[in-house]
Amino acid sequence: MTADARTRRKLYYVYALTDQPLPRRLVVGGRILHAVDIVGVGAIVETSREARPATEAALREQHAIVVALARRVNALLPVRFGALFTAAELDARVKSAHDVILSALGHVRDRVQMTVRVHSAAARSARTSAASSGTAYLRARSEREMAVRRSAARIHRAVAPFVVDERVDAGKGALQGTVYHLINTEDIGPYRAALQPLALSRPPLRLSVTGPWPVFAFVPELRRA
Amino acid sequence: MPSAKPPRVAARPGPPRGTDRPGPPRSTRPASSPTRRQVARIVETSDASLLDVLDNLLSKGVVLNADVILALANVDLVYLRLSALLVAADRLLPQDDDR
Repeated sequence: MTADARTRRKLYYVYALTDQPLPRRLVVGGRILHAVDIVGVGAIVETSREARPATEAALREQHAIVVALARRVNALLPVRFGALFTAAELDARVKSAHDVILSALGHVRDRVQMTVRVHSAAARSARTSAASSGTAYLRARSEREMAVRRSAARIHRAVAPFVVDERVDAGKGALQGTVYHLINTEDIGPYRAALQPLALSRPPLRLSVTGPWPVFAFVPELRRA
Repeated sequence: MPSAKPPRVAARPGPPRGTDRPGPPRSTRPASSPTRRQVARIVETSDASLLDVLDNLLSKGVVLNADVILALANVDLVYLRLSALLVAADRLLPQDDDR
């Protein structure tokens, strides 16, 4: 097998994408990573031979690595867990979405993600019984979605000056929903302070605020292979 | 951060420094006035809770390969339950000596 053929068959586990200069070899979290340049997009990878099991330890480790990487650059797109490619596949995927990736990196530059989870007593009481009718199920689901939108709107009003972008996910069970905000790094403190009054607001909202995180929720939708 | 804190709010001294690792989660304290009913709570933590890890890595992030989504379908289901129950995912998986 030629050296070129071996290179094409090499497997990369991909952690993140960036457009910032990085050393070609870097050690993060005890792992040796490489920054592979693909027409101006840097793919931060680790040479690997097999897929990773989705265990708690592996997930926590990858999360910690991505958080550490995000501190080194001002724009980073985390890659979802389990991205294992040959060098040729990665090259093709990044090139096919090159402009989208660069645009997304510009959108998240010098910004972070804040995650606000809404735990509502109303959501806990609005359980849909397995024995209920389809109409009742759909009605309950619609009410739940409306409740998530109302909560998200209240949260947005409190922090509107700091929000660059927003994503809202409906929840299940005791979790009414999750709101993700993209904010400028310098606004982390004021953003948290702006949420404090919601703790005493009416009707009550129980919120869990976490972050800042790398911008997991604000990555581009790439064309599927 | 203002010195006055609402009951059971985890105080945070300010924006995190750029190169520092997030500190351990701050525990909440009981309300200073036991007769006052706690109507809402904002809990802040800078540590990566398991829910954040699962949420960020399994349902977010750049999707470079759609096959990964299918391969992780079972884990997604565990994640959905986890988001409701806030229980560690690994402990829900069957062990050889369980039951």
